[in-house]
Amino acid sequence: MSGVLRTLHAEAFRLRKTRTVGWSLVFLAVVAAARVFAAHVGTAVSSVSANAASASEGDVSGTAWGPFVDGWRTALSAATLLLLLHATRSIAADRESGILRVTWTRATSRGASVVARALLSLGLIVAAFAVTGVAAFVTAGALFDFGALVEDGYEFLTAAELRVELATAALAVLPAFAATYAFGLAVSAATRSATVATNVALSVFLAFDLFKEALGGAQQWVFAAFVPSFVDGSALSAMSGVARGFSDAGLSPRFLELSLIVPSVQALVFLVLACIAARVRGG
Amino acid sequence: MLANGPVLEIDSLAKRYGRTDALRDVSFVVGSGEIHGLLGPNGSGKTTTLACALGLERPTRGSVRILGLPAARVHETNGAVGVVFDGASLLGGLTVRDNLEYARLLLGHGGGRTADEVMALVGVERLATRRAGRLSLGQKKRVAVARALLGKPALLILDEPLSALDTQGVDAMLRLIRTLANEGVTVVLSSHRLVEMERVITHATILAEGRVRGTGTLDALFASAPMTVELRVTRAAIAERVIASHGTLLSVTAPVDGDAATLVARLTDAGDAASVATRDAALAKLNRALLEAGCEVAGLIPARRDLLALFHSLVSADEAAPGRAREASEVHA
Repeated sequence: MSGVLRTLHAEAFRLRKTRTVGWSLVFLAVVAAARVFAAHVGTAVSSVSANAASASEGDVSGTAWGPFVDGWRTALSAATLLLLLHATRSIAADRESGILRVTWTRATSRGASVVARALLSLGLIVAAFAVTGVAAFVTAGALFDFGALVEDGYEFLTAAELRVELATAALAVLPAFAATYAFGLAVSAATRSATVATNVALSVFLAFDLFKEALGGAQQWVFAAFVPSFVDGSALSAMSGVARGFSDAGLSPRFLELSLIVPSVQALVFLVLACIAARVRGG
Repeated sequence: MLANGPVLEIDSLAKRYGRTDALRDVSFVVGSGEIHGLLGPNGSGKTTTLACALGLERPTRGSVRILGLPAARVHETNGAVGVVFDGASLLGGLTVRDNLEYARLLLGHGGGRTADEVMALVGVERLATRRAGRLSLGQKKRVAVARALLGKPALLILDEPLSALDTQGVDAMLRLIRTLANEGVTVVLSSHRLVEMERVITHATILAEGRVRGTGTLDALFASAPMTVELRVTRAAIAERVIASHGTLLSVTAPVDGDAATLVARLTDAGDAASVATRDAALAKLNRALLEAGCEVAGLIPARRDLLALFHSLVSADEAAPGRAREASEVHA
């Protein structure tokens, strides 16, 4: 256990010093804010068109929720790829540079160094969630209205109800991020080159993204179906419609159950595979 | 100290990659306080031996104990084994000081040497704020040595410590190795630079083609090696036949003056080459045989007892062809 903690401490120090993570978080925040701002521009253009056509607008509020959700999940889609890249490089790049050999001979076991990296990823995931969420929320709050979701005087959902729905959806997405990182770690531990690890992991992940619609219900047995991505089928994607009043059906209990259990179990499987691969592959 | 016995014990180690035998039945022991050279040409199995000794490669056969532990548990020595690999293995994006702090955090040591102390010991203080990725190879090597000294190691393993170092760097490195040995650190170092190694090592294991050709103290190795002599003779063809009955011909230069030639031979009947009487008797016997065969002997010079000559004699022991001798000499390159 002390080996895990020592490695965790050292890796956190390394992350802080390399600044890569800091800049990545800034990038994600900018993506979230930019997506919200783009929605604002789109709304402004639509509004001008509607006024020109003398269309009448009823009582509208809660306009911030839709752009907020879209801004957040767009940034989280980018975060998915960045986390996957970080995971795939972590072990393979250290193996290439020889750092792993030094670590494994002087300080910690192979298993400890893999587990420490997995634990560190939880911090990265929470940081990515927090930064993108705050950036999208602040920008949406500045440009739109965060009240109850009302259109033409009809209240679809109160602000409190929307917050609960969004928090639930966000929690449902978290295990999928952990599984994505663990998948990247397993690939990284099994390969000698960071480039190969990145290519393999991205190819598999993006290929699944392209084919998951064709898989229908079967996709729900794969962790990647629950993480925000380009072809987004995550819980946050469903929230996009809810936040605009297009749908008042929240996440189904079955979907919630699967999004919590499937990625969590698969994350553990990938972690075990990563530990085995690290043992077999050597430094 | 985790063990009172040998610091490193390698027993019947074999390692096979596909169809290639990288190591064949390698056995040697490193005792406490030694400066032990693992010597051999490129591809002789030095790095593979060290990788197996450090648990980084799983041997096909044989066993390794390092500070009393199996190789796979070397990390449990808690920093008592310091390692420098050939490639230096630094985090290029971090400064030198941060590289050392990272390693110190991994070790989790409150005690032991600090980053500043090891930088001072190795003489890289002025590089403290430089990014490791921007250092020269020689500078990287010294920083890697500094990192290996964190946590006060009892055993220091250096893979090709002199590669990429200039003359001054080599001198500084050899001085540092001697200083550490004087402080009680056991040092194992692999190298193909025999001349420099001879200045510092007390013991050696000589590897060639994955086999141990000799191991022990330098004095014992010198004593056990067959004597090599250089002869300048006329009637070279006859001399070659005479030599064949006394030992093994290692090389023949092209005759420059009629039938004269310079021959290098290893005398198999010289016995213990460290014994002056035996050596002189063997030389006299060869000289007499050459004269009786009608050769004029202009020179009969025993080879100097140095590591390079020792290496020649041990490595080419099984292969007598002049070509093999030439290959062995390249270890010095």
